[in-house]
Amino acid sequence: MAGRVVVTGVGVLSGVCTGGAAAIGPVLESGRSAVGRVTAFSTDGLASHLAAELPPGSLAMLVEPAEARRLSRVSQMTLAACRLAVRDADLADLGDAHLIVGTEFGDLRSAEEFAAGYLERGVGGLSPLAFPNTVMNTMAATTAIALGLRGPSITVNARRVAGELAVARGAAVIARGRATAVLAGGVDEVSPLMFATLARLGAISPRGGGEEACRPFDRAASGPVRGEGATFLVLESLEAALGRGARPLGEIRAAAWRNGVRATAIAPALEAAGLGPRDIGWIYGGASGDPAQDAAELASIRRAFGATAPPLTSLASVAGEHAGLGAFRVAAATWTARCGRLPGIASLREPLPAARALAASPGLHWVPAGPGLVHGVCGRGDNVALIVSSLGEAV
Amino acid sequence: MTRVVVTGLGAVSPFGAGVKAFWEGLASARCAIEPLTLIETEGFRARIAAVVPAAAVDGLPASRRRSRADRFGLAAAAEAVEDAGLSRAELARAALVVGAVGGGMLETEAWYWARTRGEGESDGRAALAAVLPCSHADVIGRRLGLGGPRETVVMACSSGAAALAMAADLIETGAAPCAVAGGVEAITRICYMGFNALKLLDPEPCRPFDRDRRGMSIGEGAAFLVLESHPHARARGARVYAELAGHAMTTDAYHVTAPHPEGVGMIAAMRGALDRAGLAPADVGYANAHGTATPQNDRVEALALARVFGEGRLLVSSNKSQIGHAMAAAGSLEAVATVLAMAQGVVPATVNLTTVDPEIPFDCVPGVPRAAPVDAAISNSFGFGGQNVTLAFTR
Repeated sequence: MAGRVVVTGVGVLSGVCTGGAAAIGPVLESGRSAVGRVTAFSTDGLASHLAAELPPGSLAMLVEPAEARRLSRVSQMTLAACRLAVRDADLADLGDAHLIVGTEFGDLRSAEEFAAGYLERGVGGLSPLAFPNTVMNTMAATTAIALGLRGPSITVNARRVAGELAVARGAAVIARGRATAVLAGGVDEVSPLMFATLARLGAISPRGGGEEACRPFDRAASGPVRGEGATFLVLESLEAALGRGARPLGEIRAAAWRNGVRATAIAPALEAAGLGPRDIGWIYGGASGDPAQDAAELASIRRAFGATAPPLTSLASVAGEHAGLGAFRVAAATWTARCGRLPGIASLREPLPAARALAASPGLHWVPAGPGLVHGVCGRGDNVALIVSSLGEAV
Repeated sequence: MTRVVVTGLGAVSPFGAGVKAFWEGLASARCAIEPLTLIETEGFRARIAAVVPAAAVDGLPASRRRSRADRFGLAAAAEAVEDAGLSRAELARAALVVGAVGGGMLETEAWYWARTRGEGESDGRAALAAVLPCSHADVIGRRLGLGGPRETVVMACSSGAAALAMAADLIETGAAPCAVAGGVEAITRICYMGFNALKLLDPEPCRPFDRDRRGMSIGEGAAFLVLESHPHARARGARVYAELAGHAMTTDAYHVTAPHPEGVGMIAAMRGALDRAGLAPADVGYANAHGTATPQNDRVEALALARVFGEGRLLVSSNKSQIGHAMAAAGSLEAVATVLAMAQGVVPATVNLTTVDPEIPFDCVPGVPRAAPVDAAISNSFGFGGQNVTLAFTR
């Protein structure tokens, strides 16, 4: 019944790289990280100072000056990454494509600016033009207008898993034959209010007086480090992609998402792909260095794979925690599926006992080029699993 | 094609808690739009709204420590689940799709206002932890034990209807046998100030389709529907209110706050929903309109309705004349109204309508509900960002 879903383009705008699918491999090979001291605003008085920010000028070549004047920064990021993805896929006609934007914080900066206008100057300080940006669908709306997308444009909001959830839903749309193409991915920015709030609430590193760093699965883990950027994928049916002469980067064999603290999406995703746990050669996990969340992910993986799970990596220390990273990991998974190499966790020094046999040490690892898993979990209940493979074995 | 039926309803509205209060309010032709005292309104053009009465809020089962919106959402979802009579095992497989915009912004605003004015001592921890739109799904999913796929969709004023369309998708694709889906909104300062700044609010209770209409009135509430595959409902002997026979979502890709002047996206959504339902325009007896009472929306919506259904014949009414525009909850509250209109054979009125705009070539059911057998009806929901959703229900 279900059609085959392929990834035909990637657009990535992140602290660590900007470009199409070709920009991803070198980053994964190099073990580079964009985590550094925040430069866009002062973090004085806060316990946290690190984030993976976009380099200044990242947007300049991708957004027209008129758009830059009109659109908020996070909307510009969305539009830029979608443009890169469409270019990467060499997709000429976007007419009825669906757009699915995953985000955790949306355009919080605009909401604050809008409210501040009132608190500083009263009713006359309210900007009617800024108001629509306070709604999280503003990124999807402005991108749809700029690209002329007339299919559904959907914004999904979730903690930690919004990007992979958007890609999972996009894959389901293609599998059902509901659209010829889907642009799906995630976006978030590091804004001053969001950063300061998370720091004050102890939601980001350093928590519990530890060293400030992003260390998934490490004894020294002290909380996540935020990142920013947007990654979007172009998804098509295999038939449509081959029909227009596109070269698929990889296949999404199945996607599942579930709710519940002890729920797992891995088993239903494997079942939908017609695969067993032993067929999975590697895992891109959602671990971010948040001890409780990472433990929840390890437990999910143990339940699905038993004692001998495949090597597990995390890209959180590469580009920081943001909804774009979910789609970035799917793009990275297509690279691993093609070339059989998995980047280890560059920041890993002393793995947690529970992670010792699983967590991939720093450096590149040879792994089976067969199917792998992209996993996302949020301790409050969201679980997402995507099975990604290269096309070679299946064509 | 899996048929999707409605087997449970739940609502919290400006008429009070519960579906019964909601329907009695609609059937009595009352208008719940009153002076707004929940937030400061000095200096604004419109100082009225339709809010859930304090006595009803106090009586909601959820803890008072939760955000107003979470309490609305939990009460409405719990009512729908109980109405449908789903067992724990069935709930463990049920999907949850929540349409949301404001999240816990009302409480977060209170913290931010106090902080900015130097009045607050609180670190805002509780408010900030529940500020994201996806917070409702955390609470509802956990409390009701919903273990299937879960999503929070943010599509501005069409969010509640979009949640129903996306839940139907999950059932049609076999991702879940049943779903709890709907929208949640508590009034927020940002929303109230924003629509005021855009001069889209009528200082008097809104008058959809009236020649002298001057804008909308803001509302709030929550509504959830239990959707179920027909075989699943039949196997457990569930009572079926109606079938969600079709649904479609489109994007104008035209303007962030204004609909396409020819209603191109609205027409595509209505036609898409009818196609999917296998309905001819002549089969449909009632359109539950988006009907915000802004000069532009009502004119363009009527144009689109006329293009799809022809002038005359179709009954068209707007619940917003009675309960205001409940933002993310509007689409699901109006879906409940549409389903009940068919079940009861009574079409809710458009109140406050004295002189029908000559540009609205329909019977808008002015003032008094109409006894009329309706076998098929549509409900329209549109939103900022040119988001159009149409749901088609059949008896």
